[in-house]
Formats: sequence, C-alpha cells, structure tokens
Amino acid sequence: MEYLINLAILFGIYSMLALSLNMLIGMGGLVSLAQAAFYGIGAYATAIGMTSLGFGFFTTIILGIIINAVIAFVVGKILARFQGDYYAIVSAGLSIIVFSILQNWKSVTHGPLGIFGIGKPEIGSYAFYSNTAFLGLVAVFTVALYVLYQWINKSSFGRVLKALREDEKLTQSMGYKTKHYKSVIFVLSAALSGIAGAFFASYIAFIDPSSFQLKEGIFLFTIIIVGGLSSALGSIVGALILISLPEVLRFIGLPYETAAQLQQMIYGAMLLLMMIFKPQGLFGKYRM
Amino acid sequence: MKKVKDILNFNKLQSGMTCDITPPTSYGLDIISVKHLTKQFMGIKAIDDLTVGIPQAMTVGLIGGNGSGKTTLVNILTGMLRPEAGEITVRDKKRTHIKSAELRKYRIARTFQDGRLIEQMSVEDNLLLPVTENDLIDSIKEVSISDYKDRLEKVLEMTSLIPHRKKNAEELSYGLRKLLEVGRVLMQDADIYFFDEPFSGLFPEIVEQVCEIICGLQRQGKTIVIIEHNMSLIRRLCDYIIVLNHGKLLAEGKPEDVLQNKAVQESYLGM
Amino acid sequence: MKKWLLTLCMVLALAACKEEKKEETQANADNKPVIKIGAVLPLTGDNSVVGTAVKFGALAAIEDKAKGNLKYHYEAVFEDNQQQPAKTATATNKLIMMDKANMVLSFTTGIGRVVAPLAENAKILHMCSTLEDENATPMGKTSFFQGPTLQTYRQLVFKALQQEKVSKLALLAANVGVACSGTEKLAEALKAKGMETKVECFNPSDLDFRFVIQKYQAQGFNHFYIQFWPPQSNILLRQLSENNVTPNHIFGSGIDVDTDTSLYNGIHCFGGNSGTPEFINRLMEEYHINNVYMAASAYDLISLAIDAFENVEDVNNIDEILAYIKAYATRKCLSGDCKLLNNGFIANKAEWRTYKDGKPVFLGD
Repeated sequence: MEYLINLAILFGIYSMLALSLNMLIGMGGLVSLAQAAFYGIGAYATAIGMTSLGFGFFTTIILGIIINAVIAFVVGKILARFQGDYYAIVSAGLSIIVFSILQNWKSVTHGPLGIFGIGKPEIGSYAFYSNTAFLGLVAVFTVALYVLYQWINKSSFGRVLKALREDEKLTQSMGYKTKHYKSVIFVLSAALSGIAGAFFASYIAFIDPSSFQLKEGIFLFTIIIVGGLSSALGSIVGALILISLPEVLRFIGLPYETAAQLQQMIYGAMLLLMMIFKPQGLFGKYRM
Repeated sequence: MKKVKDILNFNKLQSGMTCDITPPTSYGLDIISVKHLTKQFMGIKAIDDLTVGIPQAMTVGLIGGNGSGKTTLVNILTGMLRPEAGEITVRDKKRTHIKSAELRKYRIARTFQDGRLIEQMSVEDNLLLPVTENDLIDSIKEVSISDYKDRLEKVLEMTSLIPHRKKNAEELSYGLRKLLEVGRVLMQDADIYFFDEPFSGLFPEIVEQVCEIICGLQRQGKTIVIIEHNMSLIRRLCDYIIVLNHGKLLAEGKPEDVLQNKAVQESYLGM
Repeated sequence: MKKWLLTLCMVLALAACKEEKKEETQANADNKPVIKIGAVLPLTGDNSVVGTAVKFGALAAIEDKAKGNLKYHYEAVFEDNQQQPAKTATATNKLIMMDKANMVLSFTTGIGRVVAPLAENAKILHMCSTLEDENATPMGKTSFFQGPTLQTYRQLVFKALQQEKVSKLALLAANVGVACSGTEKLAEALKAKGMETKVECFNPSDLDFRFVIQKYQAQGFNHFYIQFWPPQSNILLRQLSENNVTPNHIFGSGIDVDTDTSLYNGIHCFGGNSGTPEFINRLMEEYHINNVYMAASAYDLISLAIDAFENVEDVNNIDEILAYIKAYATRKCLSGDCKLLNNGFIANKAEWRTYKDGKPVFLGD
C-alpha cells in the first residue's frame, strides 16, 4: 500500500504537469518544449527557499509562481514571434538555457551537486511528513488544477484559444487580440508547472538539474500525446500510464540479466502500439 | 464566349422571386468606401487605384472575372490584407488600413470563399465564437452561454443545423459548412455583411435557404456585399452592382444599368 | 489489417528476446530464512555500463559469501533507475515496500541522497558506492557511502604526473556531479605543488572540444587531465588523438567505462575501483562483461553487509547492524584498505591503471 501511495504522489505531480501543458499545447496549440524549465524553476524556488531562506513550503510555491510568471511573460513575447515548428525549437532552446543556468550558477543552485534536505509542507503545527498526508495535499492541488482546466475549457477564453490554435487570423477577425490570449495561457501554464516542481522537490527531498532537462519536457509532451490533446481526462490518464507502466513492468518476471533492457523495449513497444491504434491519444479532442 | 454567355445567362435573366423590398430610387451615403486603393502581389496589381463606395443599407453585388480583385477588395475591407496605398473610410472615419481585430468594433462580418471554419470545434462553438466576450479578463469569467442562447437557437434553426450542433465542423457536408459560415455571420448582428461566393457548389434547396437569410438581413436594413458569378442571383438580390476588371472599377450602379453597359458586356460577360 | 499485423510482429519480436531465466544465486536448498539485498542501479541509459559492473560485483559478493556456512540465504533484487532521482525514488520504494529488501545498494552520491531518507524511514541499511566526493557526508543515519577520498585521489594523480614528468597540465571536466568541482580543487592542489594548470568545465551537451585542445596546445600544454563519462569521454579521446595527443599524455578520471576498453590503451586512468586482476578476470569470464568499473567497491559493500547480517542477533534491528558496520568497516577490502571515517564515509584506495590490448594493467594505488 505504501508503495502505491508513493507511486500515486508521482502520478499526482505528473498529472499537474500534464494538465498545465495540455492547456498550452492542447487548448492553445502552442507546442512548447519548455515545460521542464518552468518545472525546474518551481522546484528550485522551493529547494532554495526552504533550505537557504527559511521559507515555508507554501510561501515557496507562491515564489515559484511569481518567478515563473515573470519569466514566462518575457519569454512569451519572444516566442510569440514564431509559429509551429519554429515555436517548438525556440522553446526547446529555453529549456536548454534554463538547464545550463541551473547547472552552472553554482553559488545559488549548487550546480550538479544539487540541493538536498528539502523539507515537507507544514500548516501551523501540522507537518505533512507521512506519505499519506503528502498524497492528500498533492491530490487537493491536482483536483484544483483539473477544475481550473475544465473552467478554462468551458469559458469563452478557452473557446478563443481553441479557435486560434487552428486559425489565428480568423479568430482575430472576430475581435480577439490573440497575442494576449497566447501570452496569458503561456504564463498560466508556466506558473502551474512550478507548483508541480515544488511538490517534486519536497517529495524527493533532493533535486539536481538532471531532472529538468529537455528530455523531461519531451516526456511530458509524450504524456499528453498518449493521453490525448486538449483533454483533462487524457492528461490524467496519460500521466497514469506513463508513470505506472514502467513500474508495472518491474513486477513481470523477466530474466535478471536483461530485465531492465527488456522493460525498456516493452515500454517502447506499448507506446508504439498505443499510437498505432489511437493516434489521437486515448481521449484526444484535437489533432495537431 | 458562347459558353460564358450561357453560364451567366445574361440574355435570359430570370425575374423570379426577389426579397419583396421596394428598390431604392436613390442611394444613401457610403457606409464604407475606398479611395485610390492599391494592392500588389509580386508586382502584379490586384487592386489598382480603386475608388468606390458601398452605399448604406444596400445589397451590393460585387462582380468581375477571375482575378479582377473582388476577394482582394473584400479582404482589405475586412482586415485580412493591408493595402500599399489609398484610404479606407468606415462610417466617416478615414483609415489607411483596417485591422482584422477591429471588425467587431466596426460591426462588420464576413464569410469566406474557401469556407473558413474552426474545423475541430463544434457547430455551436463556431457560432458562439464571434459573439462571446472579447475582453480578456471577462472572457475568462464567462462560462455560461445563457446570454447568447436565444440567438444561438434561432440561428441553428435558420441554418438547419440543430441536429448537428454538437458535431465538429469538419464532420459536416459541404452544404452544411456553407450554412454554418452563414450562421456565423448571422450570430454577429453586424451592420455590414460581406458574403464571398456564398452559393457556390450548393444544391438549389440550400441556395434558396441562403437567399432567404440574405433577404432577412435586407429587411433589417443591413448593408450587404455579395461576391457572386451567378447573374440571376445578383439580379434577384442586389440593388447595386460594382464591377471590377483587373483591379480597376469598370462600372457601378443599378443592376439594369450596369448589366447593359457595353464595357461590362465586352470585358466580363464576353459579348 | 496492417495494424494488427504490425502488432503481431512486435509481440513475436519481443517474445524472441526472452531468455531462459538463469538462477541469479544458488538455490535455497536448506530452506534458510531469506535476506533480500536490493540494488538501485542504472541498468539502462547513459551509465548502464557502470551500473551493470556494480550489479555483477554485488552478485559476485553474494556468490562468494554463499560458499561459507551462512545463517541466511541471500537474494539480490535489482531495479533500474536510469540514474534519475524520480525513478530512484519509485525503485527504492518498490524494493523496500514490495520486495521487503533488508538493505539497498545505490551508486553515486546524488542518487544516494535520494535513497538515504527512504532507507532511514524504513529503518534499513543503505550502502552507496561512490566516486571521490569531498562532501560525501552520508544523508541519513542508516547510510554508508564508500569511495576514495579526494586527498587519496589527488595524491595518486600527483604521483602519476610526477612519474610522467608533467609540469603543465590542462584539466577538462564535465559539469556533472562532483566532476567539475573536484577537478577545480585538484588543479588548485597541483598548482600548490608547483605545476602550471588550466581548468575548464563543460556542459553535458558539449561535444566539440577541438578548439579547447588546440588552444591549450598553443599555450604549451601537451598533457591533459580529463573527467567525463560517455559519450563525452569517448568523443574527447578521439579528438585528443586527432590532435596528436599521445595516450600516455592523457590522465583520465572516470573515463574508462565503455564496453570497448581498447579505447583506453596506454591512457592513465583513475578512480572506479575494479579490484584485483583475478577479480576482474573472473567477472569478465563469468558474467561476460568487458568493463568492471566500480565492481570491487560494490563487492566490498555487499560483503560487509552480509557479514553484518550474519553476526547480529536480529537482522531487523538496524541499530545492531549499524553498530557492527561501524566496528568492522575498517578492514582489508578488494578495493584496498577500507577505513571508516568520522563522518561515516568509508574510504578506500584510489586506483591508477592503464590498458593494454583492452585489459587493465595496474600501475599503483
């Protein structure tokens, strides 16, 4: 049971990330590979805030949101000059830049040595030391993000996003300043992924830049592709599959000499099969 | 040449049903006009020093051969393109160009020749898109569509889209897609409507349905511009005709006068 | 139809990859109580060569100990973490909670820091095989980290440099883990001993070092100290060779981790205790691996852990186990003399070797 609780915590964290990314890519059509950067910034805000500055966990969440929002606002303006594939490439560049900063700004981030001893959240005198309590907190935030996603999806704001992802000019002709909409969703997505980063840092209690490289952004992208673009349920299910599948494979009785390699092959094959039979993802509502 | 004449049915114009509106004896002020407008593509002038106006509350037929500049003119007037030179006046406000985001402010709505819909969005959402809150903050707060419900139901009925309301636009047949586009402009309650070849490729029943919709707008005193090649429909619906040829104004005026114009007959109608 | 055909082909291909399950340890013929030794290692991904070597080092220890008259039967359970913190957490949790492992072995300090609090919470032993780490203060009361100390390491490197009569040394390192900071401190120490040094660190994505090599060559630096892992290490070695840097002018730490060990012929290699020549040959032949980097360190840690389990009253009493280890950690190891330091770090020797025809040749420690 404890093992499942731990797995559920990671599932919750990645669900938050998937929901925030699906708002951006699924709803807004902005294919960004920079999500890991904002995830990492949120994690480091919590790590540094708690270990060096003595802030509480929830204060560091707010700190991470603010930092991510400011960076996303500025970067969003630059990214807005690009479309389609170029947008993805430039956003990947941001991911690489942020990783380099985390790796090399040793006086602040401790570089590749990482930051350890990150504490757990506290409310008053109650500390979320037990995994069950921590899971409860993760669940609350995940549900909140899910509700927020659905709100945006049903709102006029969401409708405009879904329109501009297909035909920005047409959407503009209906009286919408599409650049502002794109900026808002980019900032919101960045801020929300910072929350996931905060939980990750507190849960693992040790972070280093290796967890926030470009490949993590690609992994998050894979989650929403498998789960389905522009679908909140797809985000959750995609996270569930990609987090739990490698773990399930640990329990298959494979020969020990090749177990790890076979697990990777089976994992890859299953992803491939999913895309063959469900190219739009399991619950996708949008094709790129 | 003979084929063109037959297709355009110039000598056999049907005087069939009209919109039952008394044709005007004189024309009002232009609600939208252009002066010395020029637009080039790779050195070729699609619009060449064009000066023309759209009279208010008129149904204007915009005709001309392929490449005459009709769609280019409409694209400029609806902010899709930016001219290189010239002036545009909208309700007495002079501009060098119109931004597409200003169409709602100017109460201008349009359909597209190639049928531009948001394909992966439902019929309902396509209809709601041009009318819902366009202030950023208010659009985040707006979740309910109750303000637009009545109008939406009316438009869905007028365009026979009630059974298809939840379908994505890409799932609709060609005729229904055209109706959806028309429905979208109906939702907007604009003052100026541009219809770019709204009848092309449609079955006669749907042609009638669209005609009836346009007639309805006429009865409300709206200004309508229709790009169309079918002269019988032009005669039937329009109070005023503008003829373009190679980006220039060839003729304008009442349908009976314009269509008798020798220059129009020679260059456009092929006689 | 095509989709189903493709699916069938993939399933058949995967089925063909399955091998007969080999018994990883001797059967528990006497029905002894079982002690599970869990290990979280990079068995796939960039560091898999070393992870695999550590795995077989641990297996060799279990196999050797089993030859004696033991109270318990020892089973190894290996989980892949791809050297990532998140996967380390889930793998460790699986070992502790599902497999009920009595101890966990991990590799490198960063990963050890993820495992340590989990092991401490579960009140089980955690041992981490690591490279030289100046700040290798074990995290968690139930953890022991083993590796050469920086001082031991530097002394050995200096000895090698003196032997080769090096007066000017360019040091290039990856900005990963302790590589860069350790190399910078090494450069300072060498400078203090009168050597002229230059240091540069590189991001993991940097793959072209030719400009840097030529820059330092132009400044008269013909000897290079490098600290990288593949693929950077292999690319750098090739680029050094292209720029006519002879193998005996190259001093590398943590570089000889490829399966093709002929890459390192003639190069001075440090770190990653491989053990005695007999141990190395045995692992290579028995487990069909070419690289035994860090295998000896894992062997030592597992041997110590098994000794602890065999000599305490209650294997589930972590205090007893810790007390035993603290008393017996200072001893003769395969990795040289092992000494338990005050901060809980078990220091072993640093290793200096080269390769001839792909086989390691020990030059000193």
